Amino acid sequence: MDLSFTEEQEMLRSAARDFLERECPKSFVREMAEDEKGYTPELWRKIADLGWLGLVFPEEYGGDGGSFLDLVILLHEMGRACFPGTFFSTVILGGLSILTAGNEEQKKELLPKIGNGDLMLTLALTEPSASFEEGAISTKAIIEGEDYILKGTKLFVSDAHVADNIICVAKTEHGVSLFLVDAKSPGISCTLLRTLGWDKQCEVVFNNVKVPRKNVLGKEDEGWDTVEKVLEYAAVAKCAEMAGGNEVALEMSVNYAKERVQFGKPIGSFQAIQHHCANMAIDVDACKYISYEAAWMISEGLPASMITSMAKAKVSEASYRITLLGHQIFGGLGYCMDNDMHLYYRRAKTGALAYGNAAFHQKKVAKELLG
Amino acid sequence: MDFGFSEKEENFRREVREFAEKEIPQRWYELAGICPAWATMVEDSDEKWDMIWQFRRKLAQRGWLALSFPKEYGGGGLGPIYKYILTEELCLLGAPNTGLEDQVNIDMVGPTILRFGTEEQKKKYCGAIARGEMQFCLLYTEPEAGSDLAAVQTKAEEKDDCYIVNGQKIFSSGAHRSHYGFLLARTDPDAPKHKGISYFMLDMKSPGITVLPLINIGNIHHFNQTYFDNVKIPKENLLGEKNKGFYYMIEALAYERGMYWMPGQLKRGLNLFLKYAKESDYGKTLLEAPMNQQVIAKLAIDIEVCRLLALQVISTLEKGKAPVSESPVLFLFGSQLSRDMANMLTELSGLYGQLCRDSKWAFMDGYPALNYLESVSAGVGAGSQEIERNTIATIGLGLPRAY
Repeated sequence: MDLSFTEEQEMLRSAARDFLERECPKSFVREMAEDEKGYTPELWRKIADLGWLGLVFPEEYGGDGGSFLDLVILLHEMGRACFPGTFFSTVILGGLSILTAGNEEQKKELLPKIGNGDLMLTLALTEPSASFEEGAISTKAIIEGEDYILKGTKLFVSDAHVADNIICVAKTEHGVSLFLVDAKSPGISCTLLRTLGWDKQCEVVFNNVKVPRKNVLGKEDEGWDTVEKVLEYAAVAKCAEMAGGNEVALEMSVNYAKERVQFGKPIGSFQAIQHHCANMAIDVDACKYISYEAAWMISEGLPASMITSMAKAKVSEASYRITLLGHQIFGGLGYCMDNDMHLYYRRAKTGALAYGNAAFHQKKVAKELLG
Repeated sequence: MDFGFSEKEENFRREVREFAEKEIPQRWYELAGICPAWATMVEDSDEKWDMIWQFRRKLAQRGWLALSFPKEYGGGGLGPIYKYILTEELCLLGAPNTGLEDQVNIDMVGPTILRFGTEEQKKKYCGAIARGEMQFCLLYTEPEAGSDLAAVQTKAEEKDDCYIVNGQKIFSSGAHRSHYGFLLARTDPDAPKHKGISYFMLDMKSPGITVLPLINIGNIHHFNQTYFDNVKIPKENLLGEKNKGFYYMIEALAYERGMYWMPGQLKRGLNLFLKYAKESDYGKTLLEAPMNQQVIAKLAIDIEVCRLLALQVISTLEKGKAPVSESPVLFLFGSQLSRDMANMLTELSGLYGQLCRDSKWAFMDGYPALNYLESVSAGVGAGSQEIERNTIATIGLGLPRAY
């Protein structure tokens, strides 16, 4: 047992932090919130060159052969930087779906392209039911000769507006299946939603979209196993992002509490503020270690559904508390658009709602406990 | 003990409800949202602002705008209980006057002038407020004087028949829409800090005032930074005695910091959530889950408690006493509940909880998302929770001061 990073992991972490501090200042985060695409090709190219896009893929598919834990270290740093763009959708929702369920041909074709920065992906899972349960999938896929025809509405699909391929989860005869769909196929329409987290989520309507049968990812009718696996990856990755953001919220708060003088003293000298900071610090550590434990279990190939739900429930609730206390310490200043605290407060909420909120995962934990 | 309202009070409640149902234009909800928030009012559009004034004048015609001012100054001459009923009913319907600016005029500036002002000042300012013709903004907070309000540095120096004001205020809510500012400025730089501050009524059109917008996290222009460069204030605009301003403010706050609007506003939020949830397939599913039912029940219980804590303030006021510790109890409970409810509504709404008002598929008119952002102000605006807790502990419970 050793809860510190290995030397390589530490190098990855510090290189990522340096890079993101340089390339992703808060001014860029705000610019991308306004930007229709939400990313820049220049920065996308740079992270491809750094090997981040292929970090977690095996070397035989042009990747770096890194572990899921390595990827989570990167996401933690991205969370610190409020990194905008489609990394999460492309690598975790798209790439890991392909790695999990794709056949050899699909993996050989697609994973190197992702790693090179030549392919953006996303996963179209949730629908107007806003549910993460298999039974809620109502988008239909009907066989027609050598093709499937997809029909249905997907909602809260991250970055679909810029994705080259959309992996669509749809109902087939005896279950659900995953379909690799060219985003430019006739019949697909995509509308950007507006969220308080300033990310890019979309409504994607599939109106009789033709998909060749060979584009099914994994076994027909058995797609839900893949979805569950990918949801697990996504939930832990999101936890790591939030855990990173939480760290910064604490650092900003402590620094401000040392500088801000009222009643002739730094406000950090008052116990009320000290207790806020101490409470934040406890939650920050909790979020970090439970996220990393989940990531480690996934990396080790251990059963991780329980720890994933524990982490997602804990981090979702704690991130709200941490960032709200950050606001409490910043007072009126934090309530202004120009201050950065609300970037973390916003992302704490979109993060909490993604891939199952606290209540959803608490229920799963209870279910596992009670059998 | 009697938790009931008299027949006269119930009749008044009905009268207010009928009035509001008739007089709130549908367009108001289109502009301001189904649940117009108190804390970040709606100065971002002229049309909304005009609608607020129209509604205020209608209230004024009935003597309800300044319900608690004496009749001789254009008020309704009615007691705090009527004030509570009026506010609760208007909040339950999301009326155009449920804005912070009304509270500034009616609960903060008006009563302070009534208590400490000259006859002439009462007639001029309170009369205009009661008729729905004058908007005040508070010019208290400065960059270095937030929780420590006695640290104000903006100076007002006596010169001939005027005071000359120099300095800067921040978080001046609605200053860009206000006719007058209720200014706290230092008039004796050598006195201990509480003892050198005076109150002024400042004409916002005076030369030398610069009002710059400060956009809040809901992307709304509500706050401002206000700069004073040799601004002249006639001596007759001093309130009460020179250098007593800070004490006036403390006294005024003790009497008037009743957040009566909280229970009604919160109840409207929860009612609307339930209404919208029942109307959608997604909402119906969420209402079936026992976990969600429990959250909803807890909110309803706390809203009832919040109403009782507001009534505690009213009851104290009705006896002619200052609700010195009752007001902070309401403020703290209400501000915490506002935040909890905002957070829980986003959670209950699930993925829909993050959608903004102008988004396709927005649930409940985007209220959960906006309210999540706005509720941040509940614990830091109009006095931070920490300062209010200090007040409860030291003044209310008699514990020794820590600093």
